[in-house]
Amino acid sequence: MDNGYKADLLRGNTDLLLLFLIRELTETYGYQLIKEVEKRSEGYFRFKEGTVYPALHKLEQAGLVRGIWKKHRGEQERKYYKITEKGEEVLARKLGMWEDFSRAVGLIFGST
Amino acid sequence: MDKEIQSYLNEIHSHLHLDTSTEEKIIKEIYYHLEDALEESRNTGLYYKEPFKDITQTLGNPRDVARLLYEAHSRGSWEEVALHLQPYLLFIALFAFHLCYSFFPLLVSFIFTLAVLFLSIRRGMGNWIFSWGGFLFSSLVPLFILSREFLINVTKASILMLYGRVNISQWVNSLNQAVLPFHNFMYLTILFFILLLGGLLSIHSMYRTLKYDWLPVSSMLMLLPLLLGWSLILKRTMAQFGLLSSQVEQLDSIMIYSLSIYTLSSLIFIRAASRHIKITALGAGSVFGVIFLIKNTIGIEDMHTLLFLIASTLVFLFIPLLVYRVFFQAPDLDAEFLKSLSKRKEVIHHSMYQ
Repeated sequence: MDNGYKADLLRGNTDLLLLFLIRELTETYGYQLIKEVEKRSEGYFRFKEGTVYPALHKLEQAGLVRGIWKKHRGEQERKYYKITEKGEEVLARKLGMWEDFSRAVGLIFGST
Repeated sequence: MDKEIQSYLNEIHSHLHLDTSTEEKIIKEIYYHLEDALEESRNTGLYYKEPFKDITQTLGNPRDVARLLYEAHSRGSWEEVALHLQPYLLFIALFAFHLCYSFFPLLVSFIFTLAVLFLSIRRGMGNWIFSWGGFLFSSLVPLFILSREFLINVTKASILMLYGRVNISQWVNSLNQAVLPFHNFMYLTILFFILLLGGLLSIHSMYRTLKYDWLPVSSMLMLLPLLLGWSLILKRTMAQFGLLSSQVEQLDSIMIYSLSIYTLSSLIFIRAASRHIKITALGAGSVFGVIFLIKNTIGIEDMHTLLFLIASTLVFLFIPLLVYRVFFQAPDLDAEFLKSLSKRKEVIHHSMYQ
């Protein structure tokens, strides 16, 4: 049950986490994002790897990030993601909502 | 390339149902993800008994991954919705202004649709063109039903002329007498050839699409039952009351509602991400459109016509699936493409774990 709740939390905030990290890292790719989430959350959050690419593609289709293919070490290619202006706006809005939400939850917990 | 990875990528490919260029980019991205994962496992010195199997397992079930990726790409934008619905709105306008029996409005509509279809095929087919192809393809049905006599007369008169039994003026005369609902057989011939050209272009785009997905092809065919129903009822009404009767005008009004139901379902079809919702919207829109048409014209009591049209809806919905399964079921990824992927880098390959 604990794992289910954690998975729900991650699922509900995947877009926010991905957008935030893409902005932080300026330009990044799927595998790096997966590892970065794991590292920054000290292993608390682990993306199901197969769900990250659909989430990235959804963000790309919505115009929130832009995917660019670049050569990487000789012939190998990688698709790098960069946040767009629209993505910055959505991220700012979502971060604001997240802060309001966590403040409200804190207030409730603090009052008990 | 390792067989485990190849079969994993093939499994994703066979369930993606996206156009070739999008699919190749997705497969490439996933392949490089697997390379990164293998390389990291080598660098960290982790031991895997079956490295390729373990790495693909961390990505998850390929069918689920393919489904999620399909959903990420299949949802049409509002611009696509606007373009997709244009032919249906054009049909509604033709019925609303009772222009379905006038040559010039039909000619302009068909030429415009044909030009858009031709240009969009040349520029690489957006998801919205299927409705334009469907518009032209489906319009052939009423033309055939309403001018069956014409076609029979053309054949008869032409055979007689070949044997010298009638001269040219008699031949023209016999054609003119048979033409319904137009008063000049030339009008019908012009429209017929424009629609035939449109139909051929539609078949060409259906063939191209069936190589990766059957659902857009079904969406091209789903207007057929509705127009089939309308043509059959119109033929009866014209025979009984004539073309300029109030009954025909009333039929046009009912068609506006039926087409609106179908247009609404098409909107859901384009905007939905899930494949199941798309299929349901497509089938339900056509079935409800047909039921509305029958209920308000010849009545539900005419069970034969109603059942025939509902059955034809299901046939047109699932025939492309059958054709896809039998002839086009996504073949494995192109060997050249796979080769181009794996030769880009000297990947870790077997040596590291052997």
